[in-house]
Amino acid sequence: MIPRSIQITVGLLLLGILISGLYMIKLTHKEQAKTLLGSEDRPVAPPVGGKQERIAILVAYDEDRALRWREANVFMPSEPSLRAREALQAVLAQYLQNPSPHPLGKGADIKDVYLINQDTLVIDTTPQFADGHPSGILLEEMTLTSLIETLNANVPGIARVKFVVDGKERETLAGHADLMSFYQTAAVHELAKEFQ
Amino acid sequence: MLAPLALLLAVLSLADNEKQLTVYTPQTSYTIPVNDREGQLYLSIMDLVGPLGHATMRVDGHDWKLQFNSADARFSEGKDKAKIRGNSVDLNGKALVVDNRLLIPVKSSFAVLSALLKKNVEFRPEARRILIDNAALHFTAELKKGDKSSLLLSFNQPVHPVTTQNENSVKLIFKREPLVSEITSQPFDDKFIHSLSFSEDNGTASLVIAGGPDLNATVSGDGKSVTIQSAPAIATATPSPVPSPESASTGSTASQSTQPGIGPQTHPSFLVLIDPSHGGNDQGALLPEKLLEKDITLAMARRLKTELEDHGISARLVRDGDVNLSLEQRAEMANGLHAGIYIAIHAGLPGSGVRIYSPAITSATEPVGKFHPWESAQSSYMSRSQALAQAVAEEVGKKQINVVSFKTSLRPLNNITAPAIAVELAPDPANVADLSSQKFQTNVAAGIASGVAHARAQLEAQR
Repeated sequence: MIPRSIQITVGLLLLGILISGLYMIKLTHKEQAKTLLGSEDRPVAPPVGGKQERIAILVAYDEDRALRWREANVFMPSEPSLRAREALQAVLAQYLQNPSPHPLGKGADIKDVYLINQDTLVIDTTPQFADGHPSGILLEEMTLTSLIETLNANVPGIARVKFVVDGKERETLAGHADLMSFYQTAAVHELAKEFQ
Repeated sequence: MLAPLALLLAVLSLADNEKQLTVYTPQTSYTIPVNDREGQLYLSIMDLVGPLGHATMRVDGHDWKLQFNSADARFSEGKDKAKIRGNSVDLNGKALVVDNRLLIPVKSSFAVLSALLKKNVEFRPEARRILIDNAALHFTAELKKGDKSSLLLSFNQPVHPVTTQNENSVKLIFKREPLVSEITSQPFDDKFIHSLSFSEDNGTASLVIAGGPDLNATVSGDGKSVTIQSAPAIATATPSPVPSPESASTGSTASQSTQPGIGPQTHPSFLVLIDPSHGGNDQGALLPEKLLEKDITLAMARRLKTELEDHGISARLVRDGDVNLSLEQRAEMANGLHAGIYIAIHAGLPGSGVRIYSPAITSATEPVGKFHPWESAQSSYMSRSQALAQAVAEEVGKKQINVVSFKTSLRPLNNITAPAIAVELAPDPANVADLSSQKFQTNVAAGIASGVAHARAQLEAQR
């Protein structure tokens, strides 16, 4: 005859194992869901070829209301539109880290870059790039200026840049900076000096 | 000796007879040239629709594909039909290509605009005037009899007529206002004022008041009233007799309005248009302490209006409530009112006081004919905008407020045809309460108003 105290102890142990098992299953499902959600935020891009380069990127720093040149190691293809996308994503990577010098909304990314007539770039961003962008003249201008100046530095021959959001034209980035116009990179280069 | 004079007179005569068509919308108006081609009058389609929205033309062989806002249209050289929004539209004549420009018959303007805009379009073919979206200006006439009878013309909007005086009549020419009237002639049983007649021709409307000798016209009541009376001229009621960009840009206007008998009050007043940015569904920046940018901009704009008026400067708000207004509408209002200065108010973080922005044209769009692209309409006013920004920054700085100046590609500044700046309240994040503080706002508003007052003389000298 097994003593009653041992029966109760064994029963409690079995119950504990069962509860722990259920909790583990729940945690696993939660992680899977998070992974899936994260992958939906970002566009699927083909693997990038090219050799690793140390490129100059212009980064916005909200605290100082300034733009500063930084260096980043990036695999840079030779084809200009792919090169532009990699350079732009290197800038966004700075903004999406935590802590960020210039926070952008989660999921802000470059969907695609189209090169037209060898001198015009149309940059298609994810909806989160605009929807999650903090609103304010300075913050919006700093974002666009840092992206265009980074292109100026790393993709020669680009004279005009246009931003679209999820394939569509949008009036402003987040209520202020103009997204309807084609930006002349030379004119933006002059404006960028004010922030540096 | 007489040959050059005759040639000059001939040229002037030709210039006077230049045929034109005027388009009026509730926000603005513009005049475009029309030319005789193959026995009828033609105009450029881009001249016609360019100022009404975002228009681009692509040529594909003999086909000319117009993209106007969200509408598509296709015209074919030599064909008298066009495809607009998928529907066939009769052009009343062949589409022509001259100097790389697509011309369509003037008669087809009504059909083309109706199909493209999907708005109410009224075409007055004999007068070559097109009124879009019920853009009509009406008036009433009231004769006040007495020792010196006077005729009071009251308009439902401010008017800036060009006035010419003849021996026994005064003529008011309305080049920009969509003046309409069902009555062409109104006789009066009076020995000083005999009749009033309305006519419209070649894209303009005119009122002729016939009567005794030395009739003159004076504008009063914020530009909504014109009084016709025998000399001497009655005292002006217009607060600031300063010419607007409109009159400054047309030499003939300025010279005619200074003719004997026409008082200086016929000049339009100098108006500062204050734009409290955002509004309605557009809340602008979400600021700490649940402050909304749209509310702060409105409060600040009201204070600035008061300060400007205290300096004797007429001011008007783009919105005086929580309403939706597109950037296009804001620019159209500024351009339509021929504002002397446009100031957009913003609020945002982070900062350390106030930021003043003057426009920078970063757009790569090229001019179309004599029209500046909408994206760079500001280009002729850039130096004046910078002078204004500098004057405002200096005066705000004198109020012990930290000021930073930038150039920016900010809408709608680049669409404004007047000196234009944006002022952003941007206090230190530790002093967010300043954004809604009456003391801070009043202090900034006083600085801006002082800057405008200082810049005004300089801006006028540059006109």
